[in-house]
Amino acid sequence: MTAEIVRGSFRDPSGFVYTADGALYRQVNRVFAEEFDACETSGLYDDLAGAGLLVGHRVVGVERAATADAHAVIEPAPVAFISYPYEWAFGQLRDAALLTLEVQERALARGFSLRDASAYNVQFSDGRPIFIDTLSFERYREGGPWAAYKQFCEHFLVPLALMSTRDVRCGRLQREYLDGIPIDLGSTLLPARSWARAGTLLHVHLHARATRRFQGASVSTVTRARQVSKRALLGLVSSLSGTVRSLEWRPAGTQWADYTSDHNYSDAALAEKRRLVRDHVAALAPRTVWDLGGNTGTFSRVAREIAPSVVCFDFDPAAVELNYRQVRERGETGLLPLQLDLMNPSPAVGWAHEERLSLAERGPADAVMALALVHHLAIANNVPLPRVAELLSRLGRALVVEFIPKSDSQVGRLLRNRADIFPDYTQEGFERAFEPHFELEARDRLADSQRVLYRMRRRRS
Amino acid sequence: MYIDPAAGSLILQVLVAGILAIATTVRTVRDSVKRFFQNLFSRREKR
Repeated sequence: MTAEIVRGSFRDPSGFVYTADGALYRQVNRVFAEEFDACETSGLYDDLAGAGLLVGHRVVGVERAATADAHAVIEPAPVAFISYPYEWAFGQLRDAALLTLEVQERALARGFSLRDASAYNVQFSDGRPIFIDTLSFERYREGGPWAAYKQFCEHFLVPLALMSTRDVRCGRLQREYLDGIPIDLGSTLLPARSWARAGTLLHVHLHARATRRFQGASVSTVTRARQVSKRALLGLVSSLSGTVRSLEWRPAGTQWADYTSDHNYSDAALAEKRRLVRDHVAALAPRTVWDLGGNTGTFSRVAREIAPSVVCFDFDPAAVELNYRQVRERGETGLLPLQLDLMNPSPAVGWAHEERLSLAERGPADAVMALALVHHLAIANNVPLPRVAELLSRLGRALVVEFIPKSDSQVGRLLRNRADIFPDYTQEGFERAFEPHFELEARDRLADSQRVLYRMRRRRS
Repeated sequence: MYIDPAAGSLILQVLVAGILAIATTVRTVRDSVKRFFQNLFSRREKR
């Protein structure tokens, strides 16, 4: 058995995640033995996993350990697609925050506490957020404050407050600040009215000032060894929860488009397109599908009828938010809406470019769908068609792609106020660009339009 | 503890601990009063 340690799993000395023989394991190091055993025997794990809050795991033999330092090895239930907070919609980050607080509240009730409150400890599985770091718990010490309070504020509260009260695009700051948006930056950027709200006043503004004022101070000297009761700690969690709940962002009634009428199809043509997409996905029989530019997920849901795991990417935070709300309301499983700008996709970031994976590193998907997308890349963003084909061949083993010609009003709109510098943007040019990378399997003209739908398979394996 | 909790963050918790504890007590009392009346009414309905 060759163990490959997940390169981003190094910050916490209590253990790490690794893969071996295609399975995912988490090693518990000896230094953490007592805490882990206490969690395991207390029933905390069963309680949290049973409530769907924590990823379930089974303890496997220590002979499967990756290093000699092992106390135990567990095999956590797998998550279909690893996503990051900077790819989540507002509602996803908000739900992940509330999940973290609920986990902390339940842990406290059983005499444990979260050692960290990183947003990267949460993933989305079957439409809901779930806590994935089994080793984040330690026994609660009476009188001690919550060590992860600042991390919670920087990973959750500050980005949510900025997105809710300043601009939803502030969420993008999370990609730059991997350990959370600094509390003092949050305090600087939040609007003046946030001083008048108890939650943001305490957890962001006063928190930022306390952090600056007491930098490097000895806590026990300043506080004269006063302690924080469990009752106060529960009050802190409850206050954070109330603050998070008070933060909202509604895509409706904003600058964002109305998604119900955002296409060029008659009802009949739309039904026809759905049928064609479904047939093409069925012919590819993928286990994983990435729907690029999937908007609110209409065709992701068509693909989901076939594939067990579909990720729907869109660059518009409003579309992703609406998609996620639909997933939650209907209890949909196997469909994950994420925010992604294909012109600047999630890069490999963090220490040695290895802590958080790029989009391409998390692929390839069995099938990629690119419906009503290529004209945005080729015409609105000047990407040459061969480069579009090349990227899509890196992201997926097969492709369902739509070509929309210049005669279509959607493309006409993009060209209305600019020179047409795209002589190769034709159906022939499109097929010529994709030919070196993909083998053409099917080509269908969509009813009532000049649009063409293709099914292709990647040439290299 | 493997993350740096920041001194100011811990001190702030100590400083506001009293208020937070009172808030928890108020909530607990409020919840139990609410539960009492809910039980009372549901018992009446059952009759």
